[in-house]
Amino acid sequence: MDPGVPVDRETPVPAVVVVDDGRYWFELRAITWRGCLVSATAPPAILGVALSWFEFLVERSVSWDYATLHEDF
Amino acid sequence: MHPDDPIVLGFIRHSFVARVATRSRSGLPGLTPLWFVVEGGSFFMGTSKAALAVRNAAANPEVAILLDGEAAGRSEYVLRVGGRARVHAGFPTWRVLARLALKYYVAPAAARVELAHASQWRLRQRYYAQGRAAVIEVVPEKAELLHRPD
Repeated sequence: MDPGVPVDRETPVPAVVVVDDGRYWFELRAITWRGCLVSATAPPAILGVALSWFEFLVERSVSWDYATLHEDF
Repeated sequence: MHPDDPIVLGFIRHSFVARVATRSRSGLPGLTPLWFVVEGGSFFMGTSKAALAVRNAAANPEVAILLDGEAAGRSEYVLRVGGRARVHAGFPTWRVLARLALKYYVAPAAARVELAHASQWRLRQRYYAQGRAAVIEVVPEKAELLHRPD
């Protein structure tokens, strides 16, 4: 995301996360989450590393896997 | 970086799935993995007319395309191509269709996957028949390499 976008609990930023896999039709599969980002406290284990941390609050998800295409009777 | 830069062309040559980032009229983001080919300097992606990427691109033509170049092995960069989209109802041109077929159905690795799933071809045909086709054409305007997160 644009690092200049202000993100805090009061102004959540809409966001989408996608994990997909496969090259050819029957290999294609993915999961998509829609939600919003809010600022989060950095985990203690990695304090000292200059990263901004966000919490992704999931509102809904969609997934597909073309290899499992089938007909229900 | 110019869209004709050899680095950009390398990412295009080695990528199979583009992640197409769009925004709705109200600004909500969308990110859709889509097959793509490049023809005449434009990206072409075929999908359903009802797909979120199509609706968003029609409402807000400023889009971004993310390419991994995955066929060249894992890179420390992702390519982001920014451009303007146009939505065309119906099927792609024959030239675009031919490129799609060569890349995703006829190439030896693709044909092996197709043959392994021959029993599902009829179902796929019915799946596609449920919707109307549309094509997103993106004219690239700029490109940049982004560090891939660890």
